[in-house]
Amino acid sequence: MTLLTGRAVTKQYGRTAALAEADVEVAAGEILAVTGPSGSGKSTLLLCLSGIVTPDSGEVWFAGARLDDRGEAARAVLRRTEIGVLLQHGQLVPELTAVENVALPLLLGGATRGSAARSAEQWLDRFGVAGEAAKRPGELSGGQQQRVALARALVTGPRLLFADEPTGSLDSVAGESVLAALVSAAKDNATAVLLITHDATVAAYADREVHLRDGRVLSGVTA
Amino acid sequence: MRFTTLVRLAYPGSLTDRVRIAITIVGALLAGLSVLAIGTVLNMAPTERRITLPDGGWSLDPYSWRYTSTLLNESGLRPGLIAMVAATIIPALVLLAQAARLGGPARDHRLATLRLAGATPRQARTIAAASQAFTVAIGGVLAAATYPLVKWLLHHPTMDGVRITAAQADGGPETHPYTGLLLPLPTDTWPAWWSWVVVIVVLPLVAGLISMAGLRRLIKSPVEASRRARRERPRIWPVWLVAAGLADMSACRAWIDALDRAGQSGDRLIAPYVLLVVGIAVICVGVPLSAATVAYLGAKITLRYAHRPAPLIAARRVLADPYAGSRAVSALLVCAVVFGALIGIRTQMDFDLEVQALYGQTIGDRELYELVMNMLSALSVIFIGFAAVGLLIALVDAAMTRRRTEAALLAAGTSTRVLVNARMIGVFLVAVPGVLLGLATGFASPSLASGPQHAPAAVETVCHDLGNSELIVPCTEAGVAQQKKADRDGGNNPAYSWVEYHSKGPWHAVHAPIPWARLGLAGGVDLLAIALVTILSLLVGRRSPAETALRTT
Repeated sequence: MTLLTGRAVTKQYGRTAALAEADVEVAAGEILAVTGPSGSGKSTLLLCLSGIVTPDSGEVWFAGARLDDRGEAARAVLRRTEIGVLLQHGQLVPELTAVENVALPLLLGGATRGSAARSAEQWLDRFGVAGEAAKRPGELSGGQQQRVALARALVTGPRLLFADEPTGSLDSVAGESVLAALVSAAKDNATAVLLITHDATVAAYADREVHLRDGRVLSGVTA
Repeated sequence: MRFTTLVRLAYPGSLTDRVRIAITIVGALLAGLSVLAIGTVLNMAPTERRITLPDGGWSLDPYSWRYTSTLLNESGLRPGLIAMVAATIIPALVLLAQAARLGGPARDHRLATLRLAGATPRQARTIAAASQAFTVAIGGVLAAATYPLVKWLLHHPTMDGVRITAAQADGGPETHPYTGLLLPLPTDTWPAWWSWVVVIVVLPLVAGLISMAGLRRLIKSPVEASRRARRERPRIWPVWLVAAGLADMSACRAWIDALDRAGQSGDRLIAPYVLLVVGIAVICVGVPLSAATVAYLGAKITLRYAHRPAPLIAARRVLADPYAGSRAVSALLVCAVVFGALIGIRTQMDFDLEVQALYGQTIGDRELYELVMNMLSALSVIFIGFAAVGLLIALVDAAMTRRRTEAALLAAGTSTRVLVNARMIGVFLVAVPGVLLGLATGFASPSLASGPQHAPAAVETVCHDLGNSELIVPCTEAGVAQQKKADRDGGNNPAYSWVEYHSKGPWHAVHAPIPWARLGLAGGVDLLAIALVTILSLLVGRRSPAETALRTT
């Protein structure tokens, strides 16, 4: 069953065409890698498909409903309930502790601090960073920060996870461990993943791969 | 989102946040005290009542002149007093505005991250607004709690002060002066009920709403949520605004003079005077807005002619974001306008009194005039103090934001001395032309508004002998001065019976001299404050070596 569909998604920044009529489909529970060189439009595709940025033209459908024509608030609610986003640098709130960062989507959704903290601790434990729960991002290593960010992206049990170069800022050992945790969690929870990467070893974790060049989808490869 | 979550996210607890919160509380406390002072003045019981005289006229009976100074007692001076007290709120608001900018990039980054984690735009706005509103509310509550204490501390009844009877008219009754204890300040009055509401409820609400409005564009999208520096060339129109204001005032002055020469008065003078006030308002808005344009032009010229690295770095910084520097010094530019205007008013009034004294006229209460002018001067010094604190905040914030860039420059071999000089020059590139423009336009405004004095070509002084008033005796300079002093002191120790002044020759317009020394002093004080604050900001930023700054993310 198709969970996410992008049809002829186009996005321009000034005169530069970042995306030119890109078509992408992600099935429920599938891990799709989007690869391509720098500047090929991979990150723009993620931003458009996740509803963070509105495409100039084209359509984005999520779970049978149009996503791109929803209001900013509706897309934000979707981001904290059914969609998780993980970026290259984690994007954690530096002033909050690891457990508070993970609990953030739940707290924004109205959960009590106690119940949100309990869920967050479970996810931190799952990714092996339970011992760092009370630390702030500045006190964590890059790999630990990325695991905390991954826990935050998955804490609400999303149906789809967007990951933009999740291991891009990590060394190979830490990167591999984060990636293994991501794939394992996604498989356990039947969460679909759209994985943006320029690294073939990372793309190898995916079920399927599409290649992007100059904002256009060139091919679809099944692993 | 629950209230506890809102409070936690509104106060994340970084060092910058704590400093911002402390400054905001102080600003709100001062603003609250100002509002309560205004409420007190507006709540003061009448000190005078109107009495009808037997001849049909009327007089004001000072039955309750219970304060030591005329400024508080005379009901006609009440609007001016309210305006003066209201002006004290301006520095507090400037401080609040500057504090809100402190840690701006970190807060923007935090809000963007919250948006990425699923906060709706409304939630992000609420978090930012709550942070500001709660903090201002704390300051407001502190002001409300402190006011009774301040009132008690300032309550010093005395028997010394102004005591007068009502002006006598022919056959009219003479009233007796108030005989009770006098108060130096209206500490017998509580603020009006609404002023407490303003301090505790309205101020925090307004602060929150302003904070929300300021973030309107910023939190539209989680990834586009970065405050963009305005790199475009500043528009020239604010300079034209100042020029238009001055032109308007000159035209109005000529119009008023023409009506004056034609013997017109009353209603016909309303239109030019209203337009004159419009001109003053246009100038007051134009000067701070022109700062970016003037700084941009100054930076362009510096870039063309400077050869040393410090001015070149400074000029490039100004050109990269001409609005940032002008925002930081805008409060001090307003100070320059206010200083200039005060000097202009003082010069005009001193000159008027001097010209009138030539032919023996004395108009107005010199003591009261001195009191008001001194209070306004003290107010502007307080204002400059707050504006300097605001500038310090802006400079430290800018230094923290530029820390990595400067660390990279240091690592690449640029000397600390060059970077320090670049910061100083960067501030002065904006401040010097701005202060000069502010002082010039501030000084020109009252000069154009009041126009020239008219004086006779010569004045003949006729002195009447002290013993025989019919007898005319030669006047001496010392004798005339003694007589003027006696007239001021209620007739004590006169030199003559009286002195007559006869104007001779045609009357002509005379202009007040430009007080270069006073203007120079005011400009110097303004620039000195900027220099001291810049040096202080350099001291704050120096404990961050290049290695630490480069490692800090």
